Amino acid sequence: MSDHRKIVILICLTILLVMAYIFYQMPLHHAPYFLSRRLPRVFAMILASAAISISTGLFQTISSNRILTPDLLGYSSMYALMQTLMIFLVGGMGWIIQSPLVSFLLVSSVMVLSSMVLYTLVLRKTAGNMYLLLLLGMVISTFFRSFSSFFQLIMDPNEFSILQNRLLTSVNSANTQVIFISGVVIIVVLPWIIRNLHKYDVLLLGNTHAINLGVDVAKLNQMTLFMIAVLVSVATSMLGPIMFLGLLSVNLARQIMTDYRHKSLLLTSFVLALLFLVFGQLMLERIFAFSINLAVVINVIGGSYLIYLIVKEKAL
Amino acid sequence: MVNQRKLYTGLWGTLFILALTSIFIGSMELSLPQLIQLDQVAWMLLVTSRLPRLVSVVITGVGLSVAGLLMQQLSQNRFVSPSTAATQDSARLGILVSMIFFSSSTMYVRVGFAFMFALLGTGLFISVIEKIRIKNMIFVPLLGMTLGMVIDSLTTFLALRFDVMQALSAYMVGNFSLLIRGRYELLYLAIIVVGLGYVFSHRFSVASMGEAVAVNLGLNYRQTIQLGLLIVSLISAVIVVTVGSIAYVGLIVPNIISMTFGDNLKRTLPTTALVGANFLLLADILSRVVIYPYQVPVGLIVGVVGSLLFIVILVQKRKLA
Repeated sequence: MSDHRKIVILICLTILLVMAYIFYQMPLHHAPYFLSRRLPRVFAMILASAAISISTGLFQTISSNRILTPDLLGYSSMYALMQTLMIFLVGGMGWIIQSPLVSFLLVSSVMVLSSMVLYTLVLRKTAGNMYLLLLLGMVISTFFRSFSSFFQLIMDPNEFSILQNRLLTSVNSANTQVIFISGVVIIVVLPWIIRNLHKYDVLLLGNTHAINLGVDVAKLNQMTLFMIAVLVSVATSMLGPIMFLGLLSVNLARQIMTDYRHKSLLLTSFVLALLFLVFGQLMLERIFAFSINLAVVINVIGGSYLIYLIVKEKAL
Repeated sequence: MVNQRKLYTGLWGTLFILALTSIFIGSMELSLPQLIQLDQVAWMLLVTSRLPRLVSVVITGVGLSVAGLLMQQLSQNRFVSPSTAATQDSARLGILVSMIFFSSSTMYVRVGFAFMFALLGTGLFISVIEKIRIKNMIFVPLLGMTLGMVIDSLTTFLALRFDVMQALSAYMVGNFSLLIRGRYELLYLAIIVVGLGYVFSHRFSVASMGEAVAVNLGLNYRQTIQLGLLIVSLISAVIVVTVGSIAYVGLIVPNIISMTFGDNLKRTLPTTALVGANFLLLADILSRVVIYPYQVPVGLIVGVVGSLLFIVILVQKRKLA
């Protein structure tokens, strides 16, 4: 089957599932109410899958490593720490926290700055040793997690409940204001990424070749780390910490498509991520009646997949 | 070579000072004059709360670091420990299973299940590494931590399903603040098992030279590995059930020791145990003063300090290698 046909089939399947999700058992005379509940969730899932698959795909390219995700390097625990710190430090000034827009901008900008400094350093130190990189990432995540639990323990209970609302997000609690901001962020970021997709294709040849061919690798890496931090903030504020979705979708996309170029790779992995999310959400709402936690299920599946990848990579 | 006698004196000295500090700090005042005057409240405080806590911290520190040391010797990998080989995660899964099947399970039932699962999980992990014959030192803990994450997700899934998340969360982060008389005695079992490890330390030293050498020297290699696994799993299970999970102690302490003293177990085991007790006691004291008069779970302090130290060790080892 040609790549083209595969992607068309995947897209049709996804659209079908999304339609099923929106219109399932919807009485016509209550349509506006049902739509007002379901459409935001669909938008949240679309934005989150775009953010997750693009950030994971690009991260794997600049680290030239196929089993990494920003999450494994502690990006989402860093996001949680930043949220915690913000609410802890500016707790007195309620208006900053109450407004999703202001707090989103504040957290994202601090996160962008600190993650760029940290991961430029880490990526440089561990050049060529991907196991060390992964292990460091896990340790860094533990560090961030312990640190945020510490602040969560000593913070004011009211502030803590606000924080919990921010951190334990899921598609079910999608907030229209946050969706709107995230939509704007994605629309701003996306053109830059699309314009630079061919550079990432060149980067697949390795850093030295890419530099030879006229790509400013250092600058591209910096910009990419910047974009990833923004995208992770978007995804985490929509979905909460779903660690392995990006890993699953990007690697499956790689297996399905014969085309190595980022245009088709990122598109396929976006469609796949959306497919998983909508399918999972449908199962969750219709079959399990909200009795299971989607993020946890995805983590079990994705974690086993990661072990498979690590062992396979080593076996090669 | 550091002078052995001087070192021991120093370590015992700091342990003594830390122990005294540990006894005399807390939200309720306790002072020496009170004890000398045979003040009843003061003595009760000492016997029911402060002493049990001191003893449990010391035993946990000793147990975790010795378990880590044994695991590193037997797997011939510097970065294997109860928290990086899925041992603690499996023990938690065991506790969960005992909670689900026996709703009013006693501590002993929980230890039994935790021990069984820890044994299974660690055994599975060890046999996987043996199969793929990896020489990369970093790869093994990476695999172990990933396996731990998967087991953890499974535990969370089951806990949410059976609605025991809250009961389980007590085992997630190690905490000494609830250990008073009547709740910590199980830990004595750990100290007996550590003693067992010391008795057999010659065998483990030989086994750590690899199967070929060990068999050549007349050692029953399989049996020794199994014995080591039993010891490590039992220590970890007891600690997870009474205190909760504490990362990194079993990883960092043995590494610091082996960087300076080499690998003869008979000699390094007591040193490791002493340093482990000192380390955890210091962390515990920190956890009690950092937001005095309240307390922070010691697992958090160890998580913050330990991850920083581990990063330093990782980078150091790479320079040496």
